Amino acid sequence: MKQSVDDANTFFRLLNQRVADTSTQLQKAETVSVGCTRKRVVWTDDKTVLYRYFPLPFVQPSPARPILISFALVNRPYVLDLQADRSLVRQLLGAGMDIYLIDWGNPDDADCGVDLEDYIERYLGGCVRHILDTHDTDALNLLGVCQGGTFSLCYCALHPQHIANLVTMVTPVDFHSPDDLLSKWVRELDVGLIAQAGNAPGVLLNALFLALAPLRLMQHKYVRLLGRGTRRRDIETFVRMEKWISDNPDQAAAALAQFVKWFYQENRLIRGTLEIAGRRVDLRQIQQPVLNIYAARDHIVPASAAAALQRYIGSRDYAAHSVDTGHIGMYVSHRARGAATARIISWLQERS
Amino acid sequence: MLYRLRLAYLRMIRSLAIVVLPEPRFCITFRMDSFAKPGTSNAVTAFAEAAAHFLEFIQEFSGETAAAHSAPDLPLLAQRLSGELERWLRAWSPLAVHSEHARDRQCTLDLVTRFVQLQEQLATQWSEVARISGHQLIERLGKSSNEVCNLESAMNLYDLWIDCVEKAYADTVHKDEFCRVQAELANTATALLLQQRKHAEDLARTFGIPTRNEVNALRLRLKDLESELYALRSRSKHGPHPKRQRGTRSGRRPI
Repeated sequence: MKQSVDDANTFFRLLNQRVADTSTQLQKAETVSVGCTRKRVVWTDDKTVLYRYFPLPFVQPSPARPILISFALVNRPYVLDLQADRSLVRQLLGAGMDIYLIDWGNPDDADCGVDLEDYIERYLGGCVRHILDTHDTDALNLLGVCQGGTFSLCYCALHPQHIANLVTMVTPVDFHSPDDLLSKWVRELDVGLIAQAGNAPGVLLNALFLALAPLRLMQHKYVRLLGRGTRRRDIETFVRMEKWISDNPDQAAAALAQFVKWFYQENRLIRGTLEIAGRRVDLRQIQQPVLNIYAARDHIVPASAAAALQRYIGSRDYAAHSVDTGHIGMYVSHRARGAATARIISWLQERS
Repeated sequence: MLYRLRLAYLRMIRSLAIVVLPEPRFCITFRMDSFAKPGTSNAVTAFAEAAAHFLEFIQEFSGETAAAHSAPDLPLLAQRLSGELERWLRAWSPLAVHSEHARDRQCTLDLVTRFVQLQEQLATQWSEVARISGHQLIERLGKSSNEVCNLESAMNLYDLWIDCVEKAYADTVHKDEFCRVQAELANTATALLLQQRKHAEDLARTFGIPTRNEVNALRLRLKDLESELYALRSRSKHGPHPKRQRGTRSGRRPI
C-alpha cells in the first residue's frame, strides 16, 4: 500500500515538473515569427494585397505557368508558408515555380458592404489580370485552398480562358453533404440579421470552428504536448500554428451573408443557380485540367463535400487525391502536406 | 341583436389582435425591419396600434352595455373613454417619445428572455453529453486495469476520455433539434446586438454625434462616386463603356 502511494506521489511530482517545463517552453516560444519565404507586394486593391515570392537561390525556373494561390477569408494565408520545413510555397518554389499569393487583408467597418462579387471579380480577377499582364500570357495556374478554392471554381467557371490548370485543396463544393456539421449549424441562420449586424468578428468564427470538436481542439491538443516532451523545435512549430489559428480576420458582413445563404443554405454552386456579377456560375464551363486534393479526415470540409466536384465540372482531365489527414494537417503536416504538394508539382509539370 | 353583433365583432377583432400584437417574434421581426429602412411603410405597426385602441374602445363599450343590459352608465363610460383618449394624446404628441422607448425596452427584454431560455435548452443538451460521456468511459474501461502509474498510461486514459466525449458530443450536435436551438440562439443574439446598436444610435443622435448608419451612407455615396469616376475615366480613355470592368490594372494601383 505504502509502495503504491509512493509511486503515485512520484508520478504526480514528475507530471507537475513536465507541466511546468512545457509551460516555460511555450512562453519562450511566444516570440517565434510566422512566414519564412521572401516575397514582395506587386498589386493592391482596397485591402487585398497580391504577393509574389522571390525564387529560391540555385533553383532552375520551371517552364510552368505562374501559380496564383487563393486562400480562404477566415484565416490568414501565411499558413502555407509557416516555416521552412512546413511550407507549401517553399516546396513549389523548390520546383522552380513562380508563385503569387493573395492576402485578402483585414476588413474593417468600412468594408461591411464588400460582397462576393468584389472578392471574386474585383480582387481575385484583378490579381489574375495583373499576373497575365505581367507575364504577357493568356492563362495562369490557379491553386484555390478551402473557401479560396470555392472562389477559384467560381472565377474559373466565369473566366475559363484565364485559367490553364486548376488545383483545388480542401475545397467545399457540395455544401449539403450529410456529414457537414458546419452546414447543419448555419442552415437556419437569419442571413438578413447577419448582413445588418456588420462585420462578423473573426474570433467568433474561430470559436465556431473550434466548437466542431471542442475537446479535441481546445484541450486534448494541449495535453498531448506533455507526451511529446519539450523539444524546442516541436514547441515552436506548435506556437506558430497557435498563432495562425487565432489570427482570424473579421468577415465583411455582405460577403459572409451571401456565402452562408448562397453556398451553405441554398447549395447554389452545384445546383447551377449561383450568380456572380449578374452572370450564372456554371461549373460545366470548367473544362481545363483539374486536380482536386482533399483530406479524408477533414472536420471542416468533409471529404464528400470536396470530392463531389467531379460530378459537376465539364473537364475530362480530372484527378482526385485523397490524403489521410485532417483539414489543418493538409497545410502543415510533414507527411500529408509534403505528399499533396509533390502531387501538385508533378501534375502541373505534366501539363506545362 | 346589436349586443350579439358587437360581441361577435369583438371576438373577431380580438382574434386579429392576438395574431398581430403579442407574438414576440413578430415584434422582433418588425423592429429589425422598421428601423433599418427609413421612409418605408409603418402600416403594420400603425394598424396593430390602431386595432389595439379600437379593441379597448369596443371592450369598454361592450363591457358597459353587457353589465347593464339595458341602461349603461353613459357618464362613467364617457369618463373612461376620455381618460383613454387623454393618455393616447399625451403619448402621441411628437415631443413625447415615451411609448416608442417603452416598446424598444420591451423588445430588448423579450430578446434577453428568449436568449436565456435558449441557453437553458442548450445547457440540457450539454448535461446529456456529459452524462453519456461518463457512461461510455466506464463501459469502455471495463474490467481492464485503470492504474495510472506513468505518463503513458495517464495519456492513454485521457485519450480514451476524449474519444468518449467527442463521440457523445458529435451524436448530440448533429441532431436537428440541437441545430435548430443553436441557430435560434445565434439569431436572437444578433437581433439583441442590433437592438442595442439602435439604442446607441438613438443616444448618439440625441447628442449630435455621427452614427454608424450615417457613416455607412457616406461610404456608400463615396463608393458610388468612385464608380462614376471610374466609368468616366474608362469612357474618356477607351470610348463609351457600357459596364464598369472593375479591378483592371489601368484603374487600380499596380506597384
